[in-house]
Amino acid sequence: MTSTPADPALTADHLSKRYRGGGPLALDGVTMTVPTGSITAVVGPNGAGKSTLIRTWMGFERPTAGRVTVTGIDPWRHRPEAVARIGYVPQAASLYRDLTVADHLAMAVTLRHGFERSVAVERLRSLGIGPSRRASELSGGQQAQLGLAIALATRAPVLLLDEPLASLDPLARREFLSVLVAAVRADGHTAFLSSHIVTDVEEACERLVVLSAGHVLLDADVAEARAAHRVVPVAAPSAAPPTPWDVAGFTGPGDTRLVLSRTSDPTVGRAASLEEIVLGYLSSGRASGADAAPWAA
Amino acid sequence: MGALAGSVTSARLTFKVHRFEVLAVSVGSLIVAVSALIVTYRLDAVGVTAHCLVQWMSGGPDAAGVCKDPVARWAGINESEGGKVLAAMALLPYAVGLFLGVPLVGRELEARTAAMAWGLAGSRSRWLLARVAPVILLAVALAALTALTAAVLETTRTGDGLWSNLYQDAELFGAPVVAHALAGLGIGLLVGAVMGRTLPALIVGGVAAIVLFNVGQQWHESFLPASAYGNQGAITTTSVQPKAGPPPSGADLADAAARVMDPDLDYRFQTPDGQLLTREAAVATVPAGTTGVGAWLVTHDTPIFEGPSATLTGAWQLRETIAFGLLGGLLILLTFPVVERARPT
Repeated sequence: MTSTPADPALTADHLSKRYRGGGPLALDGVTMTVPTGSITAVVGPNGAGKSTLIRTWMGFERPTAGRVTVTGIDPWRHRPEAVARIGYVPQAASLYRDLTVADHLAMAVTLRHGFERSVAVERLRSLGIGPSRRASELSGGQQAQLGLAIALATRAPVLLLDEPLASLDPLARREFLSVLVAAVRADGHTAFLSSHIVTDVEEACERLVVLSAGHVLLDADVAEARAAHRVVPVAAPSAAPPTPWDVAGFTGPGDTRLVLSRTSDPTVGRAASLEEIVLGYLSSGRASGADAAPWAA
Repeated sequence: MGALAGSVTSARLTFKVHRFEVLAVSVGSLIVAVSALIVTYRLDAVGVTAHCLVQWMSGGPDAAGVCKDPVARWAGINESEGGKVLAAMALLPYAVGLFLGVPLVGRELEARTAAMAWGLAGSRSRWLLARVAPVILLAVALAALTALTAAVLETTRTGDGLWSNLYQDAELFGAPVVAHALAGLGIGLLVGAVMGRTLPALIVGGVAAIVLFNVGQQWHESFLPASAYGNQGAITTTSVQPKAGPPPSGADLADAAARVMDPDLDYRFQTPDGQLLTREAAVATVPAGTTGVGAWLVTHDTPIFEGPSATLTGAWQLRETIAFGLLGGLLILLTFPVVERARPT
């Protein structure tokens, strides 16, 4: 039950999750390791299993098969110990609408041993979020910042953020991520966040996981993924025969047809953006029913 | 933060989060309590004498004609207003418990705030305990207020203890009222945690509370014949002689003997040698050829009201308190593993 510094921040080992007997698998044999000190984004469409993965690490969901750990601790068997190592920003509005910002911080003090209210107060003050304002009076961006401030003030070594950017406008998303990155860098935390929005996490995250229909399609370092993929414009889906290193074809801007290839050969097409890499892998998952994960690292 | 300060903060925030329910049950309890005191005041203000009350209870004629109007006013207030207030008081503790219990976990799940709270709390059980404890205290305080004011009203409704039918309303006084609130709280808390939706949980919990209320009523009624009438020691013998005012006439009391009182209260005659006789048995002792049987009876025997003793009432209240209190406590305890396993969606 005890964790050691050598333990990775988060692991999933052949993790499967089925919510109802006979129903589809929300997660199907997911295996991954999130290194300590990294910022990792998991992206994928609705129903991909992103929230289920995070909630399993939180000890909210019991794995149907496989195992997960948080700094070496099984969160289902030892939830209090695991939760004590996590700063969690839940999906959407999980704030108490009628409580003030100060009330939320007071509640956090009563719930979490070692919660540093002053850290949260200072962070919120710098963002212009006053302690007497009710949660219902805050904008979506401010609510997200309050959730993040609470998570950061736990001083937990691992931050799990479930779709924190979903309801934010572009400016608020940028502000949120800059606060997150600065805090993680300063404190040496590990952060794992889920998102639909690839472009926003591109600058903030150093690792990327593409999840679709419960399968990991890509789990790679962002820089390495960029270096290892090229996109090739094609006239039509059948214009060029697929090569072994082709991931999948997909539709790019202006209805252009593109093929994502796993190659670093500069003579092949052009460099792929992170969004194109994600689109390529999601298309491959859709085409194969997510049975194949050809390029998963 | 110290433990006490943390508990106070938790209580403050719990009441603030659930302030609508806290306000509703507090105001509701106060309204019913004040109503009970107002009805008590109105009954007292009629100024009906003990003599008139005895006469009314025994069904005898109003020879002097001074009792009819005050007794009619008194009985009118007693039946219409007092009866309604007491009926509300019988249900109020369950309602208080339900309204406080259902949203405690149910709304946290419904509004998804549980995700944040449980993501911070190392132990969900401690989280739940910190929220349940102040709510239990509030429910107990409100139930105690109901029990006290009900006792005041009931004392007046029974002619300041002139006749004793406390057993009939035993669930309205003292500790059982608190136990009912705990049972309601337990039902609401558990159903809310299981269903995770406030309104459906209130409906299901309400139905469960009504069933429980009726089970309690049935138990109450079935308890009496088995334990009271089979055991003379459990029967009280309260003299019908009023504490103040002129004694009832012999004719009044004799006529009363022929009247069947409520199921928990009967009318008997005690002979000079201490025997307790029914009306029929007492009539059989009247010498043949005596005119005015009723007058003879009240001259030679002591008419008494007979009903469950205060001891029996206390015994019933103890049983009911233990049963409902244990049920409430058990349901509250069962909520802890439910919360531990719940999915904070």
